[in-house]
Amino acid sequence: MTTPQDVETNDALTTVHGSEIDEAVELVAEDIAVTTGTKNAKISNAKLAIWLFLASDFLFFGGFISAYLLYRGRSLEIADAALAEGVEPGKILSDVLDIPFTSATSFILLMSSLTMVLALAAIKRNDMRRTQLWLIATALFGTIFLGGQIFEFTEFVREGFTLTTNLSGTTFFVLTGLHGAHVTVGIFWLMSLMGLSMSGKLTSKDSEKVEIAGLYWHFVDVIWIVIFTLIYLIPVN
Amino acid sequence: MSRTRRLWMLISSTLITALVVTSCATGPDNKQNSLRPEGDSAEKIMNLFSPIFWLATVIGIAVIVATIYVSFKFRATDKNRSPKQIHGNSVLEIGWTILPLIILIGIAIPTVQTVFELDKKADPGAIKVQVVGKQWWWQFAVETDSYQILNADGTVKTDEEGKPETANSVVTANELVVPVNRQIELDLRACDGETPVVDKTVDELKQANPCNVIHSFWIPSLGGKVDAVPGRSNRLVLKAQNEGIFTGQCTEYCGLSHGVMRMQVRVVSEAEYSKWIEGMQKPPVQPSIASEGQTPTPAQRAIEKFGCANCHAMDNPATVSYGPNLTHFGPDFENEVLGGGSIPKTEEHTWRWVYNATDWENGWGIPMQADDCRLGVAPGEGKRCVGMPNFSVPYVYKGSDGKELKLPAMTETEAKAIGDYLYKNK
Amino acid sequence: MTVIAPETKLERNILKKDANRIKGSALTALIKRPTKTTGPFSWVTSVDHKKIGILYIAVALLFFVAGGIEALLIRLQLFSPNSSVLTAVQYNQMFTMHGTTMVFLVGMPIIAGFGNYLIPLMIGARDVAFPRLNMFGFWVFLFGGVFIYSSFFLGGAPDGGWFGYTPLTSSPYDSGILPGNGTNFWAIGLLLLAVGSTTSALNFIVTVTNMRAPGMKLMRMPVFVWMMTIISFLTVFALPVFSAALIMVFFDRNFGTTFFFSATGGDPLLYQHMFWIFGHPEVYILILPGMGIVSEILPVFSRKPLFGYSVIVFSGIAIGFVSWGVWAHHMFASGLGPVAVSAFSVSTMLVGVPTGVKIFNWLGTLWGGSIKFTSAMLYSVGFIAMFTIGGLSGVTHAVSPADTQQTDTYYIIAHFHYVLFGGLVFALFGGVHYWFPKVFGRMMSEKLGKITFWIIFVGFNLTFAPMHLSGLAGQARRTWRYQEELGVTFLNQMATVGAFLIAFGVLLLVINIVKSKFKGEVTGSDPWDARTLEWSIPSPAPEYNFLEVPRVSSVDDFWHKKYEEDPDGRSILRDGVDLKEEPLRVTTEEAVSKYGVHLPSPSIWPMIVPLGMTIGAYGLVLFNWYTCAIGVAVTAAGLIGWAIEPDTENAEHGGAH
Repeated sequence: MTTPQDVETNDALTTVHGSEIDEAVELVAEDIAVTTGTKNAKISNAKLAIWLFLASDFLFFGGFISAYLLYRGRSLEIADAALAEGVEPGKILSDVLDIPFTSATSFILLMSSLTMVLALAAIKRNDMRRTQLWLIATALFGTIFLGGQIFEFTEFVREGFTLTTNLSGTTFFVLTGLHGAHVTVGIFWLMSLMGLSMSGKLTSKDSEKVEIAGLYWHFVDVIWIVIFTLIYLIPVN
Repeated sequence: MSRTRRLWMLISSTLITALVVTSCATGPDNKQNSLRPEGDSAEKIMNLFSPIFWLATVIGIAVIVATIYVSFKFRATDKNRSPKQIHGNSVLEIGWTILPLIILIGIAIPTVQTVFELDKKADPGAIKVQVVGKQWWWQFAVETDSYQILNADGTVKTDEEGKPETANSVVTANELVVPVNRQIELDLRACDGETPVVDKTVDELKQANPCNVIHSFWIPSLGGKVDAVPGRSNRLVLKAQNEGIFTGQCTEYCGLSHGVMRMQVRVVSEAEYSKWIEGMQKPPVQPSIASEGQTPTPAQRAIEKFGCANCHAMDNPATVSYGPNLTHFGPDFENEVLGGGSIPKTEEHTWRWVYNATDWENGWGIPMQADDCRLGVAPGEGKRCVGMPNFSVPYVYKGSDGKELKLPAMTETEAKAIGDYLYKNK
Repeated sequence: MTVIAPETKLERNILKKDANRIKGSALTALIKRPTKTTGPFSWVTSVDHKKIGILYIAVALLFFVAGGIEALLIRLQLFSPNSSVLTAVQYNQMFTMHGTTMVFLVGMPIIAGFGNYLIPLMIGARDVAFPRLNMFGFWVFLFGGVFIYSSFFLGGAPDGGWFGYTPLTSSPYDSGILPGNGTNFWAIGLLLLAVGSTTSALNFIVTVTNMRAPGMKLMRMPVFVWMMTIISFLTVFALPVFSAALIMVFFDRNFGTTFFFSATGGDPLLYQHMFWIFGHPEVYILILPGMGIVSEILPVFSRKPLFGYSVIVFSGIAIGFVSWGVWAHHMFASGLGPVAVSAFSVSTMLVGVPTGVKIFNWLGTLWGGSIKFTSAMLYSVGFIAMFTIGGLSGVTHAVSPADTQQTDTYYIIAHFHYVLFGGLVFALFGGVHYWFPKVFGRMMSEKLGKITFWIIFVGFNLTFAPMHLSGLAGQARRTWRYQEELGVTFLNQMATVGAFLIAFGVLLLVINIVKSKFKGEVTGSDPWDARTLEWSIPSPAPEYNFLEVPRVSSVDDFWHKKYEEDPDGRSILRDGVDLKEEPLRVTTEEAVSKYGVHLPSPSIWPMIVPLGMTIGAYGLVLFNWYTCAIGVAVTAAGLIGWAIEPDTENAEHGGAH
């Protein structure tokens, strides 16, 4: 089997018949493999790209999480100072948090990562029905989580804890809001995969597409675990 | 002093002299020259910087000369068409990594020492000054011994409960007067103290405390710069070695007129300083409000008409206000400045500033964003009140019932009256 | 590619797959996929990395002229101490836009342009890993740049300084502190540009990781490719921090949040930390590619290999790492405390070591060589000298007590212009001269090039050398006027004259580029007798790059294919090598059909998505939610169209977008 590098010119495709076609197809495939990096790549282009993107996104969240951590407790200090001057302090996060409720929605988000893994397993063994089932389940759980977030936020606002109440509100809502935006994008992504699958265009050869969506989804879940731990579970006193 | 220390000082002073001589390329009137230190802090910095600068220059010239030399020595000729294909040399690589490292360590040690030296608190007995950077001028509250505030007629000022008011600082603007050879500890801030803000709507936030920009305090002849950051207080210790006026400016972009936000430090003898403090602690020569039973002077009428008291403290040398404290505005020395430190304080400039502080074209004002200040509002509410408004034109606005209202323009006579009043309040 | 009547099962299968794909994607059926790869419209739809590279560089040069005009206006204003050429408002806009333009609309994109054109050629690839994403990056840049500049007509340009410190820029919109729309345009515009830069960087990393030709090990890659890879990692990690900071500024300004509002406990210095954690790696992102370009040019015109190749590579990596640990040297005056200040002082000095090592290695490259002073070589040698000056003044900044006298004065302005103009821009201009023959198949005028270099060189030094002195003598930066008593008027006048000299030189360069494109001396594939792979293919570079994927066996593989070393270590021409022989050139159609070459197809979606993003951006800054909604819709439609479309119309393969 000749490799492209060893021949001066490539006449393999000028005459179209017989076993030379198989050679020709192999040559084209080889060229594609070499020039698109799938030949020697330890990790495919798309997967490497998504990992890099997630690293970037991780630092993006890192900026907001750092701001939250740096500003922890400052609203309390300001509230104390304000009280000393006779000004009514506003609500801070620990006044309005409902940890049991958020734990439940967090659990659902965690479960959605499980269903995502199941979806990937299903498409790898070419089980289209199961793939669609688990993709829908993941999107559904994600939507329930989002719904929970929206409910939670509206409750907070009703109780007087808003984006502009104080530094606590600012850091909380912007961070969790951006996370929610990421979840939303993820849900649309999953629905697109659903759409592709339903129109028959998703096969086990496309498992990498699902894997990449899965990586994103798991990332969003991990970020939530970090947020939930830092913001909800570690109290500010 | 040890020999090495003496040698170091000899080298330092030679190099400093060289740098100073170079600096003569700039003006002899330049009172803002980091290359001619007139204070302890600036001198320490210069002692550190100068040798390093010259070392860097020598290295730079060496590298550039080497580059030029190599470029010429090895230019293409018929004889050297095929040079030896050398790929590298480990010894050289190690050498020219280690050597710069050693030099840098040599630089790092005195650097860190100087950092800690300059950060030291001032000695007890230093004069404490609270410096507040505002848009676009500097406020100085010089700590003094406790004194009683007096009214213009000499009576003791009392507060609501009848207790006599005392204070322990005098507040001034644009110029900081200090005695020679005494440490000054500056406490740099970006606003007069902040009310904590809680639970505000977006609109209310817009009106909240004007601690909205960072400034930086820099008098190069006396020392390096330190920022005035909202929410923080930064310390700067200076000690002037010679009498004179040393100018400086704000060195952190703070909006429209950052470029002309200047100030000066006037270094005087101890005797002159005590005299100045005494004068500052006295009540104003003329009060800004007429006392009961007396007819208001034209100046007092104009002051009331145009609401100067909304922004300026005028009868109390210890009060801090949005605009500069004008109690002792009148010049006690030659070459004072007004208008954010960029305009010489003369009689003409004073009344012209009052008349139209935005007249920068003619050199009597600086750019402002302050038209809406006439409403007596603090910044916010969609209003522009940063700086001093232009009183020479009427101000038209919509009243609460939607009708158009007009505040009158100031006449030159009124401005001159106010200017005269201010100028006399030395 | 032309469709032949199917005669074989193979061809029938290929066509069937085509038909399925076209039928299946309803959206793309509505919009017929562009197919032409020549002609003016092909520039809008092309995903060819070379076309995209040229577009990046051309548009960046336009922005360079814009930024240059802003600089000239600044210099005109500063010609005399109390000038009224510009009002204070205009001046503040000028220095803000000059900095923003030069860093984000010239520096980053032109580097992306060079990287785009050269990286695949230098590693023996046909294109980058994600050709459509590559095109996307360019259109985001173009639309984002136009977006920011449109602010001049929509309420005033940004005027918060190019780094936009809070709380000046984060003060509520109506508070009057920094009135107008300008800062909103700045924040959202930069967020847009950040997306494009990040995707470009991502693309480069994947390309270099996965798509090198056989035998092209990492330590055989050209230094330019190494530098581009390092800065791509820096970009991917640093930009998101800045994006987060920009979002915080935008929210504070418009939605009443209080990230930087001290009365609620916010800290303005948080912004500075976040900005400079990005900002310092950013300046290395700007300079390392310049160092890469110089590392390519010097060996060619010394006819010697790069001295200390691996040291230069490792010092680049070292700079990449250490650059994360020095950011607070931009904040020495802000009151960090002596421990932090000392630590950052020392780390800043440390980062000078790998930088200095490179300079010595370049001198080592010149030493013992056979130096030909082409224009490209003049710029590169000029780089060594100018960057040395800038680097050394940088070391004086690392001495933090001294820095408290230098920061925010013209001394700092002198420093960064020496490294960015005398460094990066010189390297870029040299790179233009050097690679012009590869791009256009013609030579630039050497005579005009050399005259241009000397004019720019003299003008540059005349402009920025006096600033060292005027800064130490008390002239602060960002000041619309200065005091006559400072005595720096003459220095400023010199600087203004120098600036106009630079402008004249740049004009000559542009004339040279345009003239040479049409009338330059036609040249072959390897006019410089160079060392790297891009010179082994015909000029102008054909669309398919390499007819056969090259097999690489060493650094400077192309040189070693031409020359071997005699016992003395000198290069002698190999037997059978004729330097005048041109490599085979075929048409693209022939390459695809006869040689099995596989090329990505043009597309319109990577232009639609940035269009939608920009429409949405206008909606945000003008507070018009309908416009926002339209923008989101266009972006979504573009993304869907993009996702459905296969990357090529014929063969299928895994994964690439």
